[in-house]
Amino acid sequence: MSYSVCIASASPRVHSNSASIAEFIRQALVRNDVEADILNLERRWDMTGAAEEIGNADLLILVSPLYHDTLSWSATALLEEISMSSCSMKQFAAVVHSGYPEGAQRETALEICRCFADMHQMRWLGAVSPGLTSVIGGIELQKSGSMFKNLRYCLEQAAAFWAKGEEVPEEVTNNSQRPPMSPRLLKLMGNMSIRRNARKKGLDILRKPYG
Amino acid sequence: MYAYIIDGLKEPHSLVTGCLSDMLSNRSWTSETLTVRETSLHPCIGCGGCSERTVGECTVKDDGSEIAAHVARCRLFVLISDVTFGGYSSLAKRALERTLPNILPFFTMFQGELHHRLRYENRPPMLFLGVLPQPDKRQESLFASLAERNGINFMARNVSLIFTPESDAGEMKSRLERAVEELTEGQS
Repeated sequence: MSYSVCIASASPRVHSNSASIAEFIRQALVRNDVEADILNLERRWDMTGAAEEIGNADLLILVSPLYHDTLSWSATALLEEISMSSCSMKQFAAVVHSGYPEGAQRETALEICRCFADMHQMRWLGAVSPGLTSVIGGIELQKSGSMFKNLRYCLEQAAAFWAKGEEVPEEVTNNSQRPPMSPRLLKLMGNMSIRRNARKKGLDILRKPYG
Repeated sequence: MYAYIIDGLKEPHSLVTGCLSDMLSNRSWTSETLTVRETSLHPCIGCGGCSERTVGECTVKDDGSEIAAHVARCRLFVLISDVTFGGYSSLAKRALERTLPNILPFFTMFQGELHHRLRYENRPPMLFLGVLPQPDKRQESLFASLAERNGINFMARNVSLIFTPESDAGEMKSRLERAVEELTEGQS
């Protein structure tokens, strides 16, 4: 029987950055002669049956955005559903990404993934943990320009290990955490762009409806 | 003083609610509790509307619409959750995510990291109460780390406590008292 992989894109958003990353990993796995299915959780509010959809995949790769310093609701609900099912999956890996550039902000979420794997006697196959992913804007990662060159490289490397059922080395995880832009520069550019957008749309962005 | 409590537990937990109600009545505080399991509450849909279409307000109209308002006004914010894999349960998480309208799109540096600025000056101290079916050092420590991370993101004082079936009621009550004392020190 061939090695099968399921990639869960655990963002509630339509055209999400998680979906872009998931599709990139799928293509990278294909280049390594491994077929993978994507379980897209966009706009999915009930995880009943999700574990069955993962089926008998040998490896689940969870791609989750960071919401409130941890996995998204979609990712958490999916893991709870798997936990209650008789899912036979034996290996687990994760891509936790966020708009914040610093890797430290995603460490707890990655630890939660590791904890999930250990609690269910799944082999942990490591993680990729990029920042600044909000800039991807939901487009194909392949077309996301030079800012995400390192992310594409890290995902290619990770996919090669995952295709062989091997753990992603720590160097790859650490490299993926390298911010493509310094936090201070991002603050400056981000705030300028937010102000410009608010002016253009006539938004009172500092509005305080609750006092 | 006003405390806002989100009860994200799958089932009622008499020790947690007992400790909390004693703590509140000892201080003559008012409080409001959102019991997530009894509501129809949608998780955040990630639409970004709270920073554009309905600035500062959630676009989803359901039992969670008022969460951001309560958090903006309260003087103590309590999140109660079953601990799942060291983190919050999906039930608690769906309520927590609805506080997003209180975060501005603008960035700032805080404790050496990039964070979003907050919409309100009021930064209620945060008390995170986790419930585990049995003691588990790894999950307890992860829960504490997550609470601390949330505290940084909300730029608020924070404390987490874990309840297990082995927790002694008297000890938990006094730990909760000490935690709230520490969190609200200096508040009038």
